[in-house]
Amino acid sequence: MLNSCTKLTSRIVIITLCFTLQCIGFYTNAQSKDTLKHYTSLNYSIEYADIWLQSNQPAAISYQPFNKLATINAGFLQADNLFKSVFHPTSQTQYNLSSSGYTKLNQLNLWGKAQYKNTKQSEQKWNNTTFISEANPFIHGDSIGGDYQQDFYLLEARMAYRSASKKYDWGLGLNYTVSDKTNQSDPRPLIKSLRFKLEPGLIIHQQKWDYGISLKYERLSETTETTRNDKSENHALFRFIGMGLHKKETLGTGYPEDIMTYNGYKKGISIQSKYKGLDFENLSIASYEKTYERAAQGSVGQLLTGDYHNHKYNFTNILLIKKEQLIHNIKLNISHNHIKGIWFYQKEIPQSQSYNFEIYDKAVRHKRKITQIESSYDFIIEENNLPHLQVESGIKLTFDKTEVFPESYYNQVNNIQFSSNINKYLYFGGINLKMNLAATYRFNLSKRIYIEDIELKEQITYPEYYYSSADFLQFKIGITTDLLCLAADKYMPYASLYTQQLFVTENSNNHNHNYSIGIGILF
Amino acid sequence: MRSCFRLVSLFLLIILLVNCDDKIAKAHKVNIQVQYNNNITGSGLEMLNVNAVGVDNKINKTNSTDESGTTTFKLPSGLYNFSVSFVKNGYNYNGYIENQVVKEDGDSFTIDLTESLQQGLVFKEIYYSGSRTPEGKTYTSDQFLEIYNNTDEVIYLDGLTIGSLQQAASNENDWINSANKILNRIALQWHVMYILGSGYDVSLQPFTSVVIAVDGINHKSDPNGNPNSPVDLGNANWEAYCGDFNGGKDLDAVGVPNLELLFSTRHSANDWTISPNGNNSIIMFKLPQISDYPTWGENPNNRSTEPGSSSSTEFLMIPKEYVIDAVELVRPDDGKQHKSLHNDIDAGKVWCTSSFSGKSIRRKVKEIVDGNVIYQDTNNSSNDFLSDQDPTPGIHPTSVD
Repeated sequence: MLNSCTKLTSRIVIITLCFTLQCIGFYTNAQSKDTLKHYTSLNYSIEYADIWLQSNQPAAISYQPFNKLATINAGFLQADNLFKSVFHPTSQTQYNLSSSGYTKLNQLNLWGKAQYKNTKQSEQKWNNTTFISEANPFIHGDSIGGDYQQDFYLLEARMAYRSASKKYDWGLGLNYTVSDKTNQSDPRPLIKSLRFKLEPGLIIHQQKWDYGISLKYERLSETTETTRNDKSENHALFRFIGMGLHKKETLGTGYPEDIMTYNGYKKGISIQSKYKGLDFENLSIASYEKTYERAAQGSVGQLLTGDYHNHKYNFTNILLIKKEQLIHNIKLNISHNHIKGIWFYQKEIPQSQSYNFEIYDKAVRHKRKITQIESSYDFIIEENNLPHLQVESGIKLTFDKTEVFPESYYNQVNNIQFSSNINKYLYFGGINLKMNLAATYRFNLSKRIYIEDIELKEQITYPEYYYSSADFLQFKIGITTDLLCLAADKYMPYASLYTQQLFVTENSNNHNHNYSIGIGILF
Repeated sequence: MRSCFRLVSLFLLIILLVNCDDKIAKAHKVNIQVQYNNNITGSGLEMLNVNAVGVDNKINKTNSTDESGTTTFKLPSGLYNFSVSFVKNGYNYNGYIENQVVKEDGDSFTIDLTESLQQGLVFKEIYYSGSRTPEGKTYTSDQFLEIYNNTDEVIYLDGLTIGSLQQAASNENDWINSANKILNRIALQWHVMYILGSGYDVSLQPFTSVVIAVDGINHKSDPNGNPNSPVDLGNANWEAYCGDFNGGKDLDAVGVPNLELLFSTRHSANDWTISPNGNNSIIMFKLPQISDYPTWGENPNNRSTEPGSSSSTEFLMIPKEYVIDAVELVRPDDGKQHKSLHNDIDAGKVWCTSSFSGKSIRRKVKEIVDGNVIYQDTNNSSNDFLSDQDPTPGIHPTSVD
């Protein structure tokens, strides 16, 4: 395991060094690039310019350190995952293209992003959904699955206005994502998904205190139409309830198609308060978010197949200390998800030419509580306002309990996760480099499961239990470089190369390999 | 610090306001009362097995009644079918209620028992699922029915008629009266065919059977057959030849006598139709007089259109008293197993798990006396039949099921 990581790291370093050495020869003849922004330190420059930029407050873009900024990025990702959820694909190949830009017009700050991703997801079963919540148990799928092709589009914009008196900033965030996903093996689903989000926000400035409030409203709409080219066979479709429990439907011979829809929303409120001291800032954020998603089968006279409710409570505190050339960033995050899945008991009422369904009872069949306590400490050494070394370490505790009723089956998993992340920045000659090394270790503190007779326990219940509780070790190694040799006055090309490897400690054959490459231009 | 405290207090308040408790799904106490209906009297309701089967879940439980005919189940919310079946003094007693809503503690249901005399002729086996050709195409020409004389007396088959119900199991029953009871006449569709005879021409000896085939050929080896078919019907006693009325589209097997047509809603069909999905139940019956054949179906009083339908298609209506035996065939899918037949004709349901599987349903052997097979007949196909069997036309088991 370590030998393969070392080899891979060596290859990455050698490839990048070879490429950048080509640039050194040109650098001595190039114009000065000191006035150009560096992509390698861009995220750092933005995140630590002001503590507000570490929050989701829409008005926070008023604190962007640059007057103008734009990037165009093209990327490739290859992920091969043997250690995964049964509802996820075994491998993914993705091409992505994105562009983002920021500009300041007097008191108005504008930011926008457009992104397109084309992804092939191989060997995916049991899950014909795209945008619904990860914790929603009411997913549907089939046992054959196949290779899915997905087109994903994102448009995002934020604007913030700083009042002339500088006493307040108000902002608005918009996010629109659309996806089409399909596979070509019977039964073949066509999944069309849409999410639209609106986030207004306000920051009020006092002397040492800032107070902020932001709201969130998001709509979800997803439709899956399942058809077959060969209707002479029966196909089984599964509507899951949680822990592998399901209702099975047969798409029989002569039945043309099946339609599943998800509609829902997210509503949230976040309240922030910031205190600025002599050489430190403290930002506290308390937020509440309610998610609701309704699953239904059919287009006319729908059969309800579950309502998902998630009440999420979150508290975050960030302490940012800047003293001379040192930055300390300490974060504490506590979140609690209270999830309920409500099942409807319905009777078919025949009507002329169609059917309708009458609800005669409803009850909670799925309950889940997830509590996470996370703490991290980030230490950065600066020189000439540029980062040179960044070391982050963190610890996360997760308590996760799922129950299904009336069977009273349950599983409970408690994990602790340690992570460490090192970024080393190099600026010499014609090279700007950011070298990244990260490691994560998850250790299971305790786990237990109780089930009796679940038909898909070997295919779903036990594999998901294993996935949520197995100990693993994950490494990430990467390099990002500004291609100064290709830079001009108004633009800076860059490239990045990352690999992430995950190994399950009790079974080293169970591993994941992810590789990503990106190139782009910073304006 | 103070602002942190205020924030946390505000959110504790929100937690209290929004975290309302919904009802958790649980099992409810359900009471079942078994009783004789108004037309029959009897005693001995103790120790009867009542079966509860979930329509939209996988629950299947059996409990015994006390001396008052009462039993209790613990069932989660859902739709359930409850049934009870027993034999006493040569009579079959059956009770069946379906799609009963269970949603809270104390839900109660009553099962009324019906009484019927045990009949002589029974369906021993029905092979309706068909098979698939080596090219993967569907093949239903190898379907057959086998009828058995379950008594120690000779029974005459003259006028014995086979028909498929118009009512599909995938839908709620349309043939009901204003009191929501199944009509006393049974609607038949497609080809309704009978054995020709003058009354005492066609005898069936005790404990023997006859095979009625869609096509009376060896389906495994005949060039017009299907090598994947599980059956050789070359020795069938009758076949359903439709060539006389569909322009010669059907095969007429040499040496296998043909059934006669009493009525049809599909004269143009290539062959006799038996639903390969099990969506339509099958009955056998006799008309009161042999002279009623073959014109009984032409009498408009013996026909009806479907209630609530705008279609002008008429179906043959058979009084349920004429029925000798019936099998409530249904589809294997949840929610597509609606009841079509009266409980005193068949109080249960049976199905094969998939179409074109080459599998049949076969009646259970109750006992073997002096080498003679006596098949189980409680007028409840849930209890009386085995499903997904390898078809064995003309062959009877040598051991009790």
